[in-house]
Amino acid sequence: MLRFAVRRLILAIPILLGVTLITFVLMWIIPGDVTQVLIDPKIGTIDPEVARAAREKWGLEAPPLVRYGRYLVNILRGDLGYSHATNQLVRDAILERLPATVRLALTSVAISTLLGIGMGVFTALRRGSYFDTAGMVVTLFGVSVPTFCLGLLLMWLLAVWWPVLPATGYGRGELSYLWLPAVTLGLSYAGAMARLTRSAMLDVIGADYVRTARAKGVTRRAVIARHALPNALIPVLTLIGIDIGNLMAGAVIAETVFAWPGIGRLLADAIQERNLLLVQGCVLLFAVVFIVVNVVVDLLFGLLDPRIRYE
Amino acid sequence: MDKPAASLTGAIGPRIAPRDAKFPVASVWRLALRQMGRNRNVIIGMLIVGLLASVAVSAPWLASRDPTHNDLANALRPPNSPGFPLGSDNLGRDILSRVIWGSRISLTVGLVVQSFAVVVGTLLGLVAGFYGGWADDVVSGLTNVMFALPRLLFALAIVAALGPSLHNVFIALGIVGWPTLCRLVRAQTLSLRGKDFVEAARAVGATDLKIIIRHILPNALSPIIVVGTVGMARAILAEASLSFLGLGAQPPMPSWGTMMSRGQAYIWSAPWLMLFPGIAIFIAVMGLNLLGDGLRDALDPRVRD
Repeated sequence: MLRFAVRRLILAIPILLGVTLITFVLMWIIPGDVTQVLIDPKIGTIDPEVARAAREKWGLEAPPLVRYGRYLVNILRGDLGYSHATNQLVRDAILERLPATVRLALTSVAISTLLGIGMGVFTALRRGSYFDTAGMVVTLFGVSVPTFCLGLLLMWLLAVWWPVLPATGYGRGELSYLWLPAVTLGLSYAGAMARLTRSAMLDVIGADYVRTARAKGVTRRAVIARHALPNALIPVLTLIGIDIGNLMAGAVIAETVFAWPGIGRLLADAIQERNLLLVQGCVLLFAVVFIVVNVVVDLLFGLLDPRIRYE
Repeated sequence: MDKPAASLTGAIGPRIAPRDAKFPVASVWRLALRQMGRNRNVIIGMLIVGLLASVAVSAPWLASRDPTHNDLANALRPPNSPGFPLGSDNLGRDILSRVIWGSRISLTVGLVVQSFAVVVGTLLGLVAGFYGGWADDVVSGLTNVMFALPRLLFALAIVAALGPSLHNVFIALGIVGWPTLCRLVRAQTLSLRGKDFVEAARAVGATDLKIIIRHILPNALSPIIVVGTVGMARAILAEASLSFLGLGAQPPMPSWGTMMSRGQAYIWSAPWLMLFPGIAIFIAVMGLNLLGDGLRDALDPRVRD
């Protein structure tokens, strides 16, 4: 297990480097002069002398490889640059918004996982019944409705038509504000989760070891709980990992719809304001979180399924 | 299970089983077509997508008004008003006409982005899977890094750098779209490369190019079609999401996502501003998802009875 874990962690390093390379390159595909973007946009037209001085100060004249090296060193020191629009360090801007996003993300992962797995198992066990058909229709709806449509629909339903929840905002952190964005995000991913759980469950139910267990006289319930479900959940676990990545992109949308003060909205606003250092910081954070989540998922795999360790 | 496909499209198949009138050879594709005709999801999906395509093509004749024409005297008319079957928006533009014209944007994005993804992904996947070695290392390394960023987030970042416009949405979605197909085609190619019919083709002197085009590609085609179809749905969703965030089609272009983001301010007083573009997005994406699901059932031999 240790060897597997170490190998998996080492494999993550080139991926992390690749992602930093992408966020680094993003800054250099900007049309026009990059100093325009890096200098406070409120200044307006920049005196060429100032621009030259700024380029020198930021080391923009250095060869790309040197600049990339400096960028990596800065990341390791936690220095992501300065955000003029909000007058603070990019790192501080992100840290300030982090708790709201973590809260939203954890709640919606919980909602989508419970709902998705529950519904997937339920429909798989009643394959071909009306429940199954209804479940497939509902989940098809779930995977076909964009997050923002679902969000606006829920907002209209539960805040306008039948006003039981606040439409937007964070309040003072009350739960009532969390419900709409969390349920929106949770439902967006529950559909895919339910579909995958259903097909994984169907695969497993037909397996020889399940039939053997039944033949030995183990009750149906025990076979499902002890033999079928744990094996069916292995592919689902991968999807949870991927979903956490999608969820971060979804958070950009849900937080925009519901005016939720998290990193997603910070990123959306930063894009609108062309505050590119902040964009770079947010994207890097999301990417790193996504990679870490997937490494953790892989390690969990190794723990749950010994076969994977030896591949 | 994939043996029949192999021998029928393989180099030797047609020679030992010549087509004659008495025993017509059921080609894989004819079989697949028959399966598709029996699949309810394929038929419903085809109908929806076909309908959308005809709406998009005939938009200039279907739409009764100019989708970008402001008519402030008729602003915020509810649905079923005279002259505005689905109501009008805050600038008095006809929502029905805008939804009709919006289908052009969505379908174009889906088609263009996904064609690019399919071509690039398939080419790279074939090369990586067939030749292995450093070509595979480079392509696989690249796809792994691309997969390390959530797709929509990656697209968001690219549009952020290039600047918001529909044109840049095409570029961004094209860049993030191909790795899924590349990985799929690479895996298919790897598993096909060692098959007997490929060995046989090589033994009779077929060149690499001929083996790839005649033997590997046709056998990898059905998953490509399935993933390509579902990918179109994803591209349409992504365009709508980016436009909703104000990064895609810029006003007054009638993109469904843009219409919804502009309509959000009127959720209290005029919810129909968001309702109809929302329904349109949902129908388009669902149609493509249904079609993809059905094609998977019809073309994947493992689920075929």
